[in-house]
Amino acid sequence: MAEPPIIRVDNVHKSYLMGKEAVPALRGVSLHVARGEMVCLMGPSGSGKTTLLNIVGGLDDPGRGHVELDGHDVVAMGEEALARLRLERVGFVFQTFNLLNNFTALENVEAPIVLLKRLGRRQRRDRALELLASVGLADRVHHYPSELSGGQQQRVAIARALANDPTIVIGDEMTGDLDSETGFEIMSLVRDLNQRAGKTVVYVTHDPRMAAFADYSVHLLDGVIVESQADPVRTLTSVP
Amino acid sequence: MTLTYVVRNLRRRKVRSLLMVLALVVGVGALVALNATVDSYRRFYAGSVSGEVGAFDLVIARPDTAVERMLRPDEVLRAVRAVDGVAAAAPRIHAIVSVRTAGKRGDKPFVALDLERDRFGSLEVLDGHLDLDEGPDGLPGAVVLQATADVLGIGVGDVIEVRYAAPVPRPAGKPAAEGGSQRRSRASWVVRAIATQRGVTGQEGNEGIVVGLAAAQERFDLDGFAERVVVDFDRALYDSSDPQRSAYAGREVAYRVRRALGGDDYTYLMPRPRAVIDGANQFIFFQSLVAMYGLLSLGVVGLLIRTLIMTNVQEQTRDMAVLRILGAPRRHLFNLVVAEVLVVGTVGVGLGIVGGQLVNNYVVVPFLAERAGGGQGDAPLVSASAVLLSVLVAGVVLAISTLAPARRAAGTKVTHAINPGLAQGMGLDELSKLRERRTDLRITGTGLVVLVYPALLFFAFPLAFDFGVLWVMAGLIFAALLAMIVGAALVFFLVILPMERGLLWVIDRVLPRAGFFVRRTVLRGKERNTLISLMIVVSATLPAFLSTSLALEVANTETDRRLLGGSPLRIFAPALQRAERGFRPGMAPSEGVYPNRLLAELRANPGFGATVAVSRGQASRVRDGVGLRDITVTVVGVDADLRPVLYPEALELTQGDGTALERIVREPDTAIIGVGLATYLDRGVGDSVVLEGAGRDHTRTVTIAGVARRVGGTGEFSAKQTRVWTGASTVLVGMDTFRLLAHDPALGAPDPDARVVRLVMAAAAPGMDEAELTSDLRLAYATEHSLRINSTPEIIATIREEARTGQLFLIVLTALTSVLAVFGVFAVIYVSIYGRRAEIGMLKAIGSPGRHLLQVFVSEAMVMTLSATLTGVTAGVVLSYVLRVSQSFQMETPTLFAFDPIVVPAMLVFMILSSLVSALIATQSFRRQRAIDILRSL
Repeated sequence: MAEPPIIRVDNVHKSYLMGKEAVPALRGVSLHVARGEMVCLMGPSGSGKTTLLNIVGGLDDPGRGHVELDGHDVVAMGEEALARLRLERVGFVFQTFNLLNNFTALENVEAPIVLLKRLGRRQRRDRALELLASVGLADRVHHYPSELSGGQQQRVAIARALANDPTIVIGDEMTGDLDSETGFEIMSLVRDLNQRAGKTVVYVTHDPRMAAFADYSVHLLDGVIVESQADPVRTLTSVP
Repeated sequence: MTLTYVVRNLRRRKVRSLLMVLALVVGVGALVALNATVDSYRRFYAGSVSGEVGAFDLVIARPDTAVERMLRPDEVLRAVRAVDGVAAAAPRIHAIVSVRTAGKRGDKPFVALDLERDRFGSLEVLDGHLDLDEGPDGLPGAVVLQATADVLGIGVGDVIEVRYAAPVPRPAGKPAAEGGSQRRSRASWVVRAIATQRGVTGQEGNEGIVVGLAAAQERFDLDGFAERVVVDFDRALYDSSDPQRSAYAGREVAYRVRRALGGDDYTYLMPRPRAVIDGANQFIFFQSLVAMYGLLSLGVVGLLIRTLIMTNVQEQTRDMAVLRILGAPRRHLFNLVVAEVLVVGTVGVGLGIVGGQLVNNYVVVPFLAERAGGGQGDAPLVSASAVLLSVLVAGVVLAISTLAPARRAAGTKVTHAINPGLAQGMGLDELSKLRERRTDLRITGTGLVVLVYPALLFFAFPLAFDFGVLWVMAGLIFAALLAMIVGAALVFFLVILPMERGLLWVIDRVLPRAGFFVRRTVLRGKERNTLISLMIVVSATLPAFLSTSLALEVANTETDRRLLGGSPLRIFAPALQRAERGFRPGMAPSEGVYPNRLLAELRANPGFGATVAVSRGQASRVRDGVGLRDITVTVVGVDADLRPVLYPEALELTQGDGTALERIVREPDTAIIGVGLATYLDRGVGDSVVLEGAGRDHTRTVTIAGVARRVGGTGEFSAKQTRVWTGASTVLVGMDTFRLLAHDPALGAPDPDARVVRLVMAAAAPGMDEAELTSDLRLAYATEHSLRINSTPEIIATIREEARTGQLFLIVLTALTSVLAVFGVFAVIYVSIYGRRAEIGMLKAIGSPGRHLLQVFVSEAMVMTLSATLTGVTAGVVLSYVLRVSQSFQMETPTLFAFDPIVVPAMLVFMILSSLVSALIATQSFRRQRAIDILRSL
């Protein structure tokens, strides 16, 4: 029996109110992501890719439809329960890194562990050091974000995203603020985490070269999925 | 267009704009109210003092050297009433009479007046009715004032006998005759009312009897004569808010009265104008205190406005860069910020002025008018000086606050709109500045700062204090106090970090998860946190300093007064008297020593347990006898052992023991000297020194019976060598030895009855109520004989009562500065939280529970606020102790520890609550928002 998808989005419709007008962002989108897959969402501005990513990450609620993350029906969950789910099972990597400026690299990685309250001080520190070493920053643990390059900051963000050993990693334009070479390094790192640690990764990018790191890409346009490129190719259709 | 842009910006940031306006309203409003209060108090001061000195401006009487001591009222009134500026005049008799009623008698003040014409002051009837006319029983009516009625047990309907002695002339150039009997007339009155008075008798309190003038004249055979005429001037004289000007205007009227009456046939007193002009100085100091508080409070407001405007500028950087691209000059961007502050300032200051003036007009003025015993008169709706001063201070503060943000705005680079990242770097035009040499105003500024101290020392202080320019003196003193407060706050700033660490340690134990975040934010957010802390430290230091100083004064008052005063009662001989407002105007000067008969009569009072007569000081020189050391001293004699009258702590001997006090009285040519003098002469108990006496070649060798650090109330026995060098040291001898020293032997044998006693130190008899004894002594001797009676317990009680009033005033001022500090705290916390939206959004995105964020921000706010408040309190408390200990060291008195139980704890609670509320309000919107909404809004 096939393992159920770790991310299940069925027939989601999402609209936003711009002034008095309701603007549809997603129109009957469905997406199933299996455990351990690395999926890229692509599309022009306003296509709904970021909206879909936020729904997949549990940051936004679907207006209409069904969404499951790692077996949890997020539509039925309250705000606090959803936050708990994100803390335990989802790691986020943002375009602008969103590191805490008054915290060192080590402390930034420790922050989610502190919030989860499962590890003691020593264990927490050890885990953070281990993660930073895994992203190649063992010699930068006590540096502040302002003392790190863009690529280094994003590595810290990746290490932070993995702090609580999530099953899903969400990336929103992870390489958007980086030069190509650094961007490739980051994507290689993420790919390595996906393959080595079996993390399911869903990310958004404009750059086809970054999209090539994914198992397959999902293209959106005007709130619908129009194409899915996989290697091998997998195609999903949207249900109007 | 500028105004449109500015108003839109302010409306977009409603919370910040409201904060700035509110802070200005409170700050300026309070300053206006305080200044207007000073103004109003000045205006009503004349009315206020009427209760103490009498509700009349001029007292005309015959000199006590005049053959005829009484005056013809009709002649005087005719001339006086014709004088321009005189509103009313009436004849009176004021005297001290003997009052007898069933079984009791006492000497009481007596006022005979014509109720029809005499409206000076007010009588409030407590029992009976006001009727001074003759009744069916053939007796005229009398009003007995409450205190007299209580003491003598008089009620309405009682008949009292009054014995009155008309004043007798004194030969010119000679003191009043001692001894002899005075003819006293007796007459009876029936008591028709018991009442309280204000401004009728010319003295505070409710001792005395008021009767009709005609009845008194008839019953005492005065044949239409009166003892004095009292005059009231036009009210308009006191409409000025300058008490000094009012008093001088009154004097012009008095000069006209004097010219109208011709020559020196009369003596004149101006009790109310004199009290007004004497009290004028207090306003200068009060005004300076208000100005200092105003500067401090508005300084906090200025910091707040600077912070918020700077934040606005930072957020508008891109907009301003776009304006630069479009061609706007730097001056335009500068003006945009100035315009923003102008709009906020106009609204805030305007509303503050209205609010402050309303408080003054509807709260302060009615209160003061009621205290002054009259209507509000023509009190102006707007106190111009208060408004102008407040606007000036607010203007200066706002100008200083605007400068940095406006300069920052003007310095916006166009690259901010194109590539913000690049804009941080140095541009070519800035590089070029590295090569050009420009005038460094910082060096000039440093020079000016360095010059401040010598300028004050060599110019400002000598000019102000030598010339007695009060407002400059007050300004310098309070500026020094302000500098001391701010300086102490800044010095103690280094204590903040340990305080914060201590509080963070507590947070780590109580809320470990929140503590992880709080610790790093609090300890590492340098500029923002320093600003909040600075605001609160400075706001907390002054109230803590003043309240602790007050607490120390109250705690140490008893000790200080007992040490300095020496004995419970100190009764001074009539000193050189100016013409008084009291019951015997134009009293002759005396030598400041007791007449013998009076002294004997006083000491015979059965209320005393023990008395010691202390002589006047005799200037002398003391020598070691072999030409090595000699110095000027003051010799004082006592006629009895001081131990029964001295407080135990007021006597401190370093050599010898208490028997030395008995020995100097019993044995001639023995003395007690001070520690400083003993050190200077290097002499001790058993050694002899030579004292110079009056006249030529007159010396006496005295043996040192004791060396004292303190013999309270008798002179200077300090260890301070400077006091010895300036001749202030005292040598205490027995009265017989003193008389021998003070008398020139070339004039024959000393007169044993020569008047030498200037002071009687006394203690009450066992079981005697000290307060009652003091009151009886004052009644008997203060008015009639102008003795000054000081009661140490009474002085202590008065100081404590004044301290309580001061404490109330302090609480009001503390509340004001605390409210403004709260605004500052709220503003900075709000801006800080707003500026951390990305952090908040990220934390919520990664799963931070809602209450965790609240715990973090509340904990941050409380740690910063509490640590800063505790630091300010520490600075204020330490400063007050430093001053107190230094004072005590100078006075050679101990310091008892004390802490204020009200103001400081209230301030702490207030600050904790304010930080809690600030954090709650500031985080409210973010707590409710979803992570995605926060991140989208970035």
